[in-house]
Amino acid sequence: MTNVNRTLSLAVLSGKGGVGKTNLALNVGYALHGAGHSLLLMDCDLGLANLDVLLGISPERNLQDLLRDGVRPRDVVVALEQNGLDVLPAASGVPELVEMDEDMQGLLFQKVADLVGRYQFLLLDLGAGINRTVLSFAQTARHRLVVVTPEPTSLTDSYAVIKVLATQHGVRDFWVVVNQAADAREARETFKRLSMACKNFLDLDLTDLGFVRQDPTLTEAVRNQTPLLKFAPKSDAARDIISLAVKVERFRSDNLDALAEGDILGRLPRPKVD
Amino acid sequence: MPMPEKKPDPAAGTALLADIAALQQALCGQYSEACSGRNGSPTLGVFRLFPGVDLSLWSRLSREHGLSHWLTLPLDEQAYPHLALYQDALERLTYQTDHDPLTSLANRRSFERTLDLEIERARRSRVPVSLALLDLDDFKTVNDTHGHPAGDLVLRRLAEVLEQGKRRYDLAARIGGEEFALVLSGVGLVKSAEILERILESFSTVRFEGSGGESFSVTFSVGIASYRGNVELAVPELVSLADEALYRAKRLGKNRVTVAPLPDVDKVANEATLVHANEKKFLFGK
Repeated sequence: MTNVNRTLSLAVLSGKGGVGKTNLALNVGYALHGAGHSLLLMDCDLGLANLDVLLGISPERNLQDLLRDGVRPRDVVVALEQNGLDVLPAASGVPELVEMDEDMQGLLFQKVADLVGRYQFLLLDLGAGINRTVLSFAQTARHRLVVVTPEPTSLTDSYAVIKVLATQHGVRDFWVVVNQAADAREARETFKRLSMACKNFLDLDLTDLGFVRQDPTLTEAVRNQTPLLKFAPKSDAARDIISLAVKVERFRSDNLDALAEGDILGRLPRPKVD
Repeated sequence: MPMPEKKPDPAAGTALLADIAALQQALCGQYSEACSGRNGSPTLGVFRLFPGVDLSLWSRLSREHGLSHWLTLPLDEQAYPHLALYQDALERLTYQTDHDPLTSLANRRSFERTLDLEIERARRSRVPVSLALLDLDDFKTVNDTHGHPAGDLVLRRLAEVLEQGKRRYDLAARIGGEEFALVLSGVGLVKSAEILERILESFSTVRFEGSGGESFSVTFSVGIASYRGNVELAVPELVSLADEALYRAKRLGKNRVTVAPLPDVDKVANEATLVHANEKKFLFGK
């Protein structure tokens, strides 16, 4: 069997930076862990990582060290909590890693393949933009969570990344979370615009996974370098994130058989040769 | 057969040459068409023994009289030195097929072959290739004013400057009288222009001496075209783009580097994935 633990890999992406992607990934991770699941958070924003910064940790090693001979994933993984909430940090200030070629991606995927099978969830926190690394990680995961805010720039950028993945790489299934929404009405309006554009121009049905309200508590949590779910578990945003995590959890439990069949991380996209 | 004398008899050389000339005249003068024919026509090997002629005499004669296409084999000695002679001749000919005799740079033929390969590589792997065409400024005046030997020296010096200024894997070629080319693999217009500007600068410091002892310097103009593999493109098209840029460099006053527009720049944006204006309007609810 290829996926003994029925690990669900989920890529968190947004196109635009600064929409709260890393925070969302981190806190969904905490929520899932709180519900008793083991989980690995992988910082895939290679070159400009900041998952470790949000957590206030300064890891000795990071994902880039994995590319070196003899370095094992377990040498790099940092445990955040007891019972399986781990993080695989990446490095900052390494422009070479932003655009990894297929050989380096292949090496990295090969190294993490065994590690990720030990968890029930694998969350990939992707970088902003539509570079090669983002596109590769997004299509190799079993599912994708697109983080969008009500701002037109965020709408456009998330539409762009969906369009590239759909038209160039045949990816058809996307979950959408509206982050930093003023209220439910604004969140609904935002999702509707994005999903109608995708339906209209790409013939694509987006899945509405919910929204997370704008919440000043989150800013405080970030300044404290503490995950919101630990810092203020009763806050608006925390509650929204928990209900989001419940949906992710339910998807996994509804699809255990399907998950067992395939690879945790799909085949790497083949480079196009003509 | 008696051993040849230690010192070859000069008379033997003369007799040999006369014989060969007569034979050539008799066979190829009268029946020249038959001599140049290849496939299907009957072929005759003509032998004549020349006692007393050894390798050193034959080498000298063949060099002085252009006889390197004649095959000789010693009947009483080792064949190896003679075969080595043909090997040398073949190598020399092969070299001449691809090189310009005056400057030793690649010639037009090998330039076109390399450029064709590099264009293919660029198309397949989307790695840019650039072509720089160089033309000496007012070279006719240089020849007229300072003499042809000085002109040849200018050509040779430019070849040296090109060889020194290019990267090891770039190809420098002389593709016409005063026209040179550089095939730069892996770089686009900006980097190529930098390389050529450096070469231009370096050549401008070279001083030449004319037939009357006068000192002069020469400049050249450059046109660069670059290909990124996004459209189908063949050698003549890239050459003509670089040529147009070169023409512009001349018109703008020579002694400069000018770049051509990218042939495939409008293909860089993928229409299939581009977010169009109507999609944006939709997103913004307008």
